[in-house]
Amino acid sequence: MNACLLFRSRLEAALIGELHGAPVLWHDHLVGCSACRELFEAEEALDHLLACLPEPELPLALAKRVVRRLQREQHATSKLDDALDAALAGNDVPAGLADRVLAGLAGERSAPAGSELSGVTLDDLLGQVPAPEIPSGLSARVLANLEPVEVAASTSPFAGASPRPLPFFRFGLAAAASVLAMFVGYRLWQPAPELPNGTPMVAENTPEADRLAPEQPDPELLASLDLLEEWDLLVADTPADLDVVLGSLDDVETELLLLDSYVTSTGSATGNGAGGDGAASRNDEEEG
Amino acid sequence: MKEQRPDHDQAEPEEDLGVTLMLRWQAGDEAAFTELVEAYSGRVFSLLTRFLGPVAQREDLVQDVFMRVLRAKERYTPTARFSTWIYRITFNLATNHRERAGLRRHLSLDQGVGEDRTAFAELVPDETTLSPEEALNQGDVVAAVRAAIERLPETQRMALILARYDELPYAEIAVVLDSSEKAIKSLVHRARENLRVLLAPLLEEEVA
Repeated sequence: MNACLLFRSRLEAALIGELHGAPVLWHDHLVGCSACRELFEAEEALDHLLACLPEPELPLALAKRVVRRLQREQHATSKLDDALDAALAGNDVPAGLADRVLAGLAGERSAPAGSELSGVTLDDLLGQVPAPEIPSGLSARVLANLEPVEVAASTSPFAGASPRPLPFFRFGLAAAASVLAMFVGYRLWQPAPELPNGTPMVAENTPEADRLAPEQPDPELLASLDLLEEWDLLVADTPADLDVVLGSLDDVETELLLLDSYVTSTGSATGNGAGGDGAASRNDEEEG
Repeated sequence: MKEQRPDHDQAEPEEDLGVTLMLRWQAGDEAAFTELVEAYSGRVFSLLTRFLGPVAQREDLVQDVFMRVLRAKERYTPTARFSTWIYRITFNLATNHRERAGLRRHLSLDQGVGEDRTAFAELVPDETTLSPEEALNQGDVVAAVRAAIERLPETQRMALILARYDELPYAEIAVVLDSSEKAIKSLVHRARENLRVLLAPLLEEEVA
């Protein structure tokens, strides 16, 4: 078997001409091995057939034609390259073009006669730019789109303000009013303090009762509280009205002082009086 | 594991006629290029004829091969035999030509001969050329052999042609086909097996 493998490897080498005179050396193996003999005969026959293929006929003057065609192509390619080089090098640009362009842009009309840019100024060029076309009815559409914003603004507590007050100012006023209302409500609705044991209940319609009865709210205090409902002052139209609003701030401070003194003097036992109801109702209105 | 390619680039290129002419041409001797074309255009034409058959575009392809040589003038370095280099260019151009011309057939067959189904697919003759059997029936042995060679897959065909007709060593064929020497041996072996199948009637007569 090894002899067969050796024979076949050598046969392949012989077929490409690497082993010359090999069949003589293989004679003994071929005599004793029919398989290798058949293979050898088949390869020999195939080689014979391949050898009968004639050499391809070369066209006459093939090399000369090839050289001539290559030279033509090379010449055409070089011409194209030259044209490209010339274009890239800028040889086709008219002489002095850059100077004329600069002169024209600077408004100088001293450029050589006949040049394309003589007498052309930047203003001329800009004047030739067409005006942009404005769509018809643009302003009406813009105003129509703005209308919902105006309607929404008119429903606010600050409607009618033109110019409208500064936002931080409006916020400060609202916060101060809310604090005031909460303070008043808390003090008026505070439950009555428990009396010490053994303290006799004060009967009504007695001098003592009259002394301890709650005083009626001061009209000045009530007038100050009513200021809080004057929203028109908070949204003053003119800067002159702004002074009124600032004045109302002083009134609020006065109101706070009066309330404090009032509560201190009357005590919490009178928290359920008519004045307390009124303050509570105003508080609800403000919060609303 | 891929076999390492042999170091067949050290094939004494300085003794090569093509290398000498290329170096002269690079040095400024324009006549050297003409000599180069005269020395190698016939070999390129013969290789194309054996590989593609007698197609009309062979001369154009020869010109394309030397156009590639022209373009490679500046970057050419003699690392291999000139014939190996120019045959490689020729093989690439010829396979591109076959693809463009639609000569490559993509046949999907359910059964093949042995493990080389692709090879068998390309062995099946098409309608455009004469089959080996038809050539044999006409008594044209040369046409039958040529038809059988044309049925071989491209790499088998080129390996066989370069080994049998151009007598290139396997190492140089490996460079041309960008493969290994062992793979080239296998290609040549399978090419001969396929030819024995295709030319069986002729071989029987020959043996008898």
